[in-house]
Amino acid sequence: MPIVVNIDVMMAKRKLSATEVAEGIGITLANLSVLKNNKAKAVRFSTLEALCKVLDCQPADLLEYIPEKD
Amino acid sequence: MKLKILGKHSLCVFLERLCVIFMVLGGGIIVFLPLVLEGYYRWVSYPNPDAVRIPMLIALYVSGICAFCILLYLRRLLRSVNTENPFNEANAKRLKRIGLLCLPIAAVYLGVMPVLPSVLVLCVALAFSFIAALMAVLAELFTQAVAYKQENDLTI
Repeated sequence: MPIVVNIDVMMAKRKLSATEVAEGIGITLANLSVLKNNKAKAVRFSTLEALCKVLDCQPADLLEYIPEKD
Repeated sequence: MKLKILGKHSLCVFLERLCVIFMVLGGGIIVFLPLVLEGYYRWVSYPNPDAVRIPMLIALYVSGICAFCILLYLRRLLRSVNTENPFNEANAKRLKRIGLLCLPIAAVYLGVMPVLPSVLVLCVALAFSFIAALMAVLAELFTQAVAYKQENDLTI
């Protein structure tokens, strides 16, 4: 998928575990895994807001567009 | 008093058990159909059973076997609705198959109309044709619901 969610990078920078991030956002570890592995089809703004709050960053720090090679 | 549709001791469980009862009764009737039919002819004092015996047997065997399969799929559908996520591919397929199984019943009843010219026979044929069409629409609806649910499940 062209949109990549760079949660791992921010988690490493902020030294937060997956459990802490999931609890902070209010989602399950399974859903966090779906997000990290780019399996998600969509992200709610409320989830993005919670992610930015927990990881103290901007949406641009988390979302990256990588065009598909033809 | 509100009617409980899903869960323990609900309408869904009651219907599931009813399906099992009908399957057992229906299965028994299918197995002993020639005897049941003879008993029926004697009970209603049918004027000329020889003329209609073969067509009736064919119609009843086809519709009986199809109805048994319909009850089987219906039971699995009801169980799935009550215990797990109802919006899955398997249930959409079951609805499609139920619809397809209604078609032979409608066809065989239309086929015996010349031999058994009865309004009730025509009504059964029309009813099952209608149910077949309805099941096709419901199956498509379920398929779309599955797609929406998958989309929703992968929306974090």
